[in-house]
Amino acid sequence: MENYRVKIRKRRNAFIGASILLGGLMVFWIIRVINNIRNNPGTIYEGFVEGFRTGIFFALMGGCIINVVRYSKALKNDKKLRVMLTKEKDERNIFISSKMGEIGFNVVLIAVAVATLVAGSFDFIIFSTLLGVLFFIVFTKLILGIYLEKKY
Amino acid sequence: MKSKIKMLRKSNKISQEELASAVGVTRQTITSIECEKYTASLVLAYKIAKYFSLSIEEVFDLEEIDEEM
Repeated sequence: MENYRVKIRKRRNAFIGASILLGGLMVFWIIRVINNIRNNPGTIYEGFVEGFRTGIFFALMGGCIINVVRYSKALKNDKKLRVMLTKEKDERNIFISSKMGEIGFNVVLIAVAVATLVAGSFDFIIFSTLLGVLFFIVFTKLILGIYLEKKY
Repeated sequence: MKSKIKMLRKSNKISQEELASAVGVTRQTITSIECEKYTASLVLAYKIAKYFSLSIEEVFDLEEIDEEM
């Protein structure tokens, strides 16, 4: 249990670091987007790409903050920490995760997400295609997860 | 795999949550084992049997495995 507590503390600190970094990047990003809109209104799809990127930033930031709060609460409460540990080490959850190939899914998801963000700077058709692929991967993962949860 | 977990739980007046907490799994895992959807690993089967002070063979029905063999 002590080892897990140390692990959670490290994760929380990592998320705090990521939140600070993302916060700084977000401020810089929002200033850039506002300047772009003022100086060069551009076409509607360029606004969509910038909006999508800003949305990703907000989502990542939100995710980091949620995890920091969740881990901080767990570190103060032994019962919550134990529940978190049980959920993480539960053999059925691990079985479902490995059956689904969750690690592979996540690697592909991150790769396609990064490619989508980069493609936005070059070509809208490629960006929208990759966005479609991204949604398809997320949808497939969700359906597979629900199916395996029901099956096992 | 069939098991007598539900019967043992009810006769000892133990909830799924209590059993799950005692053996270090989630309540959903216990539910899945009782519904015969999920087969417990050897370690988990041993922990459950030990919790009820019984042997694995007394808790789990291993006849299906014998038939397959």
